[in-house]
Amino acid sequence: MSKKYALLVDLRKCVGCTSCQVSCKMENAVPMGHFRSKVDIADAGEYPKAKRYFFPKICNQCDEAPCIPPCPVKGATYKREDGVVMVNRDLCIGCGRCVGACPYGARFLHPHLQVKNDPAKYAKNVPEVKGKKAKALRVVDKCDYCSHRLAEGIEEPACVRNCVGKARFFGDLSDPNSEVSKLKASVKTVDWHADYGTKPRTTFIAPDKEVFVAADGQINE
Amino acid sequence: MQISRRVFMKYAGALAGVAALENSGLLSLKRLSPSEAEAMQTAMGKYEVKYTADAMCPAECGMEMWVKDGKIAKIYGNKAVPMNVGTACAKGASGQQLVYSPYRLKYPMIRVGARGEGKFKRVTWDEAIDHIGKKLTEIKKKYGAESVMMDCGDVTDRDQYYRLFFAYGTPNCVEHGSLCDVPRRHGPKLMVGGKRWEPDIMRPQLVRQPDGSLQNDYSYKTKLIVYNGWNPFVATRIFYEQRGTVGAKVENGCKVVVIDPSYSNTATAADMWLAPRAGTDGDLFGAMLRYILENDNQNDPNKKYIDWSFKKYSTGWDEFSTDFKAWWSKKDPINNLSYFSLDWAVDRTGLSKAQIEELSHMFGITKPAALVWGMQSPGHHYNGYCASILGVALNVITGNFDAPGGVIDCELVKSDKGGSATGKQFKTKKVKRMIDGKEVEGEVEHLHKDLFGSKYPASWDDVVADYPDAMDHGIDLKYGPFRGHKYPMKGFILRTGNAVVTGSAPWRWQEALTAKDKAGNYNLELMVFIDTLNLESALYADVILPEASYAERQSLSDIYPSHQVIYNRDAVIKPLHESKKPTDIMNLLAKKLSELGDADIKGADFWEKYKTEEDFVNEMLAPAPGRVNVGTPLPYPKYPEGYKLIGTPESLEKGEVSIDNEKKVVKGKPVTVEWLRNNHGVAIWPMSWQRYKKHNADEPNKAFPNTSTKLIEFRFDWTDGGKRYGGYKSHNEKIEKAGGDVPLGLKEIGFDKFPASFYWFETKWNPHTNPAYKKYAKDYPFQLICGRVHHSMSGTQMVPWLGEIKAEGTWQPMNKEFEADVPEAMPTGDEPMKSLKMKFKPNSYSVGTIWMNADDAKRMGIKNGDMVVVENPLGKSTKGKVFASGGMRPGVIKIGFATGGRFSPGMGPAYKSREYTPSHSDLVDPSVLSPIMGFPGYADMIVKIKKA
Repeated sequence: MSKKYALLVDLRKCVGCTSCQVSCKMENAVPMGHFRSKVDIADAGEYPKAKRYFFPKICNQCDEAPCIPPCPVKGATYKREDGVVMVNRDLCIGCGRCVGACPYGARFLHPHLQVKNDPAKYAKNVPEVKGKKAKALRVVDKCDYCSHRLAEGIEEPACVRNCVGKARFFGDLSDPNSEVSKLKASVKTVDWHADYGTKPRTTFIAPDKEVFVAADGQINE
Repeated sequence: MQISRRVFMKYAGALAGVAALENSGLLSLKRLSPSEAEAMQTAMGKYEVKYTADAMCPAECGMEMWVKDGKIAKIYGNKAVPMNVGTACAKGASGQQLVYSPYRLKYPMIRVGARGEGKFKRVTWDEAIDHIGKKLTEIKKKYGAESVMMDCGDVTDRDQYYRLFFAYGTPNCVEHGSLCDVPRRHGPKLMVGGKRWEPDIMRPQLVRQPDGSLQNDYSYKTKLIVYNGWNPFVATRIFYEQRGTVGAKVENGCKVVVIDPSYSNTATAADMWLAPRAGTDGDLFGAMLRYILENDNQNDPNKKYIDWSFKKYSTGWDEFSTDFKAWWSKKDPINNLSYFSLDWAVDRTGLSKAQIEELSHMFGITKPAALVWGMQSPGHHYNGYCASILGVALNVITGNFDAPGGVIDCELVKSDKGGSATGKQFKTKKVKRMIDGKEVEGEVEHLHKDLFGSKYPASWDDVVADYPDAMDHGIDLKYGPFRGHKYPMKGFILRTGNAVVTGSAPWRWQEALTAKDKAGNYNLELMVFIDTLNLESALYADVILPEASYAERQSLSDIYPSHQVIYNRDAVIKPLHESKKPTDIMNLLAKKLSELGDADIKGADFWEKYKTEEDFVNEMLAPAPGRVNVGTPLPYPKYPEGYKLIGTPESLEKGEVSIDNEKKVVKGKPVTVEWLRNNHGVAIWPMSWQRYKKHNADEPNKAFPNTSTKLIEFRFDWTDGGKRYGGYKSHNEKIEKAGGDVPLGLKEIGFDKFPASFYWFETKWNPHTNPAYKKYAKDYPFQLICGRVHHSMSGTQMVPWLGEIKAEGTWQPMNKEFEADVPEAMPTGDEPMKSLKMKFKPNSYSVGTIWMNADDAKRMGIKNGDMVVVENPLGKSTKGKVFASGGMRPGVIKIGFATGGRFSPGMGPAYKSREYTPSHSDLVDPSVLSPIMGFPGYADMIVKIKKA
């Protein structure tokens, strides 16, 4: 049976340090102003009932990923059997449809990565790239659970590795003994906007549901 | 803000096609294509992994840096280090942006303009060293070596500089601690000979098992943590407290109380957030102690607060409690209430009676518990000494000191290091000085500006905040053999510190650094700035030397764990630009001084002895771990209890040791850099608890703690059987030998010597507790506090990934549009970072802000983002943008420490926002130096606010 990767954030243990955000930038060379992983921080409440919400956001690796169907290039973005939603940088033409299609803002066009595929081949059906050369277009980038680490057998994305509160768990849902499986079985978890029907793989232990309301911006605006 | 579904809905219809796509095979497993793999830097096997220690903040976590082609490619925590067990915070992970920053100091420079003007010319190392060497030689001849102050603003890797300057002949080598949290540490130092009290929540801990084996224990025992003015989620000197706090909560049901006028990030984990008036920490602790003493009932399980067994392991409680209780019958002039009563504490702290009662009861009855006080409370107030002494007393009498899950004095239990490499032996060199026409002999040490100076002779952590005064007026020695000797401050070597911004009021430093004599020469004849970063203090330097960054030099971690742990700070890459390692800078300067005829500097002590930095670090490691074999379970049952342990964990475990029964030392094979490198960079010795008692009997072991009696001392100066004891003993002896000449600090609070037991005095600039300031209350209705913003301290604001983060109310994305060079991560190619000019949109990048209560702001018609001017009664002001929230006690405002007003171009993006970001330090009263140890009253100030 294939692995079924999932990431779980236990917000009871999140200390708001934003290590996940910066560790991701370090690991994946994410440019300034863009994020694969980001912590929203929101202050709320009147004195003395103040609150501060830390909401570490990351691609949900949705099982019904809304970013895939709009892609005009076969295989440029796809979901692996293990659940990770990938971008093929050789194929992506940088049209940006998937960026807009993700309700979580998990995708962005990478300013330092030029498109390699020839956009002219697709220009007829993709007006977004019409008349543009590959070097004027940028490929899309997103969290892929550090697939390059997974490929080396390191089943621990950088954000999980460096998480200061040990609040992040990554593992295989097919394995009932994995930490994520055990946590999912024993503690109530909640998804970020389950109402969108995208069936997220990334999930949260969030005792205070207000976190989703208070800190609810997209990952990339 | 709600997310927009607009674009999403546009494609939502396509979702129906998912099943069809699946059938078409489009969603089937795909492996990375070869080119994809390369683009994503997947050559994971090609990295060289180096174990090192961070130095971007004083937590100094154990790090793993992955190097590729001589460049730092990845940064993670080192899993073998229990301080951070493989984790790394945002700052730690952002290290590439500091190491590869375009704002680094790249080559030596000599000043060509006026001090402060920022005009320098590039010179060679030879020229720079020659300039410094000649000046140092001249100053030593003219004024004596003691007139040079060596300030290693950062404690990290300071020892090469200390060694050189001790040998040169000045005892005045100081470090970070002098400007960190001195009053906070005072109680522990005085009463147990330690420093920092932290909850027992570092996990894992290596513990001796009943079967004799050593195992990592991950279980939490703590049931209550009270953090008073201590914010480990943001100010992470003690890194494991982040993980441990939430770990103990979730896994052990531990309750957390945070006492802080501001809703700190740590408060987000609190079951109870108490927001007292600023500067009333000691008041609250005093009320807690009185409550516990008055309500303790050993026969009522719900009121059995005190664990009286503490009396076996301590001395002087009767004197302490008598002196404490003596205050109860006095009426406080500010409110006419009995000191330390609940009503009194309500009046002073602004908390409710129910809150104080609940806190006192909860702390008394919950065991194990830890009461912790931080730099943002006692640490930054004039009377913080009283609070830290009370804090020690509260933990000790409730049985929590060094209890499993209780509170640990990390200074007492951390590994020893440094040894003879530090050069402290040079301080015992005999020197002569002419005093009133008479030649007097003493040791270099006796020339110490503070320990024998006229102001703060008990300042065992040195005083830096009065350097401006020393530059203007010189130093008067009042105590010791050189009593009557006066000397000027003529040389100031500042290494990895930014005293101009952080050492009390910047304007005062600027005045002193630029003051000239009648001939037009600067009073201070030499200022040298040594650092990797181009901080404000560099603008005032005559010579600037670029030091290798923390990733380019080798040394040891300086950490505060719950038992002995030490790790290597390995040199991960070669020094960049023209920077040099501390060992090389030490040797270069030593050689130059020797060439210029300084007979105190010998090749055998420097360049002949230390061919490489590894030689130096090996000497530093020689005394490790250097702690006694005490506590339960006994770390090494096969060695005698109370004996000092030296050597690698491996050799001690295997019994490859020699035992010296006379000196009570067990000596194994010395820890070396090589041993560390072969062991994931780290050496870990076993944990034990209740280290003050015998492991097999309820009696003191007479080996721990580190006091004059090897007991916990509640009295500070006493005579017993003709022998004198106590933490203040030697300081009072100095005063007595000087004919009762009272030091300036004590005079300020009306003391004629250091007190023998419990003492109390009021803080400054607090109209709620000190009658002298009541008159300002109406015109200056706000108390001003400060605090660290972990992400953006004095020396890391040039790191742009940290500008993409918000931290509490003092570091918020409120920038105006600006353009700056930033190191940008490169997803392809050989360079991990490339400097690019970038434009930042408004409100996209965090800057220092002024954090205030939302109701206060509303009442004053101030909105979030409005510019305001904050002014103190001294007529000093600063301005910045307001962040208003419910997370601040009304009547208090908070500004991050060194977050704003940054006027060195070397600060990068932070420099661009200097005109609209506040400088807290500008409002500090430079004359407020706390009376016992001369520490700035950083958080003792009141202000008024008006719209700019």
